Amino acid sequence: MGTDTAVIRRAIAGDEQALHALWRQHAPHIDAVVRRLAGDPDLAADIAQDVWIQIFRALPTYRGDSQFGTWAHRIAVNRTLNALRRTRRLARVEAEIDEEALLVEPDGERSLLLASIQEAAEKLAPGARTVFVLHDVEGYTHEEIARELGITPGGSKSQLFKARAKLRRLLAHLLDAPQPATDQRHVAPAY
Amino acid sequence: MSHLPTERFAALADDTPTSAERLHLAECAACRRECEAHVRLRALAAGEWARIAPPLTSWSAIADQLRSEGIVTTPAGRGGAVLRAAARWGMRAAAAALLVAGGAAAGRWSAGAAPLPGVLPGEGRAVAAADGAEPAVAGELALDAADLAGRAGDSLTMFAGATTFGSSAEALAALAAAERQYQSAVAFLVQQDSSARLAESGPAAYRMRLAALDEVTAAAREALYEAPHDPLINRYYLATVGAREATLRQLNTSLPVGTEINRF
Repeated sequence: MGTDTAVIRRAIAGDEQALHALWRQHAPHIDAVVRRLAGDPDLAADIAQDVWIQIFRALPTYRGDSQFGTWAHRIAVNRTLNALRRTRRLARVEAEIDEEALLVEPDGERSLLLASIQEAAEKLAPGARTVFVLHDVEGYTHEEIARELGITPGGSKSQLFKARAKLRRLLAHLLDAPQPATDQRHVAPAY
Repeated sequence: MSHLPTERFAALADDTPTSAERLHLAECAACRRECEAHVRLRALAAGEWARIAPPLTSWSAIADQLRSEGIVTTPAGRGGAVLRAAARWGMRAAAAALLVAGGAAAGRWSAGAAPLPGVLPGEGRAVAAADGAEPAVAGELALDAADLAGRAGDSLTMFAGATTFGSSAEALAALAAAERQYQSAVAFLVQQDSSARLAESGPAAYRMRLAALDEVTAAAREALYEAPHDPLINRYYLATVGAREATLRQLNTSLPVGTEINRF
C-alpha cells in the first residue's frame, strides 16, 4: 500500500494531521508484526508505543528508496527485537538456539484446537517463534535472521524446521485435508 | 527407503526433494500427506503477513509523546488545537487535585492517622492544609502534600469554580483522563526522585517498598470490602497496585544480570 509522499513530507515537517494519517494507515500492520514477535499481548502493547515513536523520530531519515510501509516495518522488527533483548527474553532465546535446547515450550500441545497460526505460534518457545515469524511470515532469509539474532544461518534453519514441525502438530485440524478412502488402508509412519 | 524424518518434511516446504525422496513420496501416501500439510502451513504463514488486528497503540498516547519531544510542530486543526488546549488545562487541574488528594492521604498514612477517613475528592486540600502544620511528624510525604496544596491552591479553586459537566459520562471521561495524567505524574516522580535513592540503596530498598506497598494494598482492599463502590478508595487501590507493579519492574532491572524475579 503506497503512502502519499506529500503526507510524508508534511509529517517530517511536524504536521500532526499527517503523522496521524501515517499511523492510521500503517498501525494495523506495524502493530501486528510487533504482536507476532512479542507473543505476550501486554508486552506487545508496550513495545508498539515505543516502535511508533521510533518510526516518527527516524522519519527525517526516510529517503523514499522503499515503500514507507516496508521502511516502517523494518524499524518495527528491529525495535521489537531490541525490546525483547532488553527484557532478556531474546537473550535467553539466543542462548537456547546456541545450545539447541528447550526448542519448544512443553505445555499445551494436547487437546488444543487452536484457531489460528498466531495462537499456535504463541505456544512456541521465544527463539523458535522469532525465527518462524521472521522467515515464514515476514519473509526474511536465514542469513538476515542470523545477522539480526547473532546466530548462524544453520541455527536459524534448525529452529525454523522444529517450529514448523510443532506448528504442524498444533494445527493438524486445519492442515490435514480430508483423506480419500484408499489412503485409510495405509499405516501412518511413526513420527 | 524408510519414511522421511519429521524435520525433513518441514524443510521440504522450501527445498526440492532428492531423487530418492521423490521416489519414496511417489509411493508413500502418508509421507506425501505430511509434505502437503507443511506446504499448507507455509502458505498459511505467508498469508499471516496480510492479517491485521486492532491496533495496540492509541494515537492520543503517541501524539502526547510526540508533542513532548517537539516532533509535532503543527498541531492538527486550529479549532481542535484550542479544544485540546482547554482539555489539557482541565486534565492538568484535575490531575493536580488528584495529586494533592493522594499526597494528603499518603501524608496522613505516614503520620499514623487513618489514611482514608471518608475523604471526598474536593476535601483533599483542606486535609493537606490541616496536616501541613506537622511536617516533622508526618515526614516527607506530608510535607510534600502541604507544599503542593499551597502551590496548587489557586489552580484548585479555579478548577472547582470553572469546570462544569453536562453529563455523568462527561465527568467520568474527565476523571479517567485526569487519572491517567495522575498515574503518569506519579510514575515520573517515582522514576526521577525517590527511585534514584532506592537504586543507590540496591534491591533491598525496592523489596522494602514492595512490602510497604503490599500493606497499603491490603488495607485498601479491606476498605473496598466496606465500601466497594467508593470511587476514591477504588482509585487509591488501583494506584497502589500500579505503584507495586512499577516497583517490581524497577527491582527486576536492579538485579544482577541473569537474575530475574517472577513473583514477589
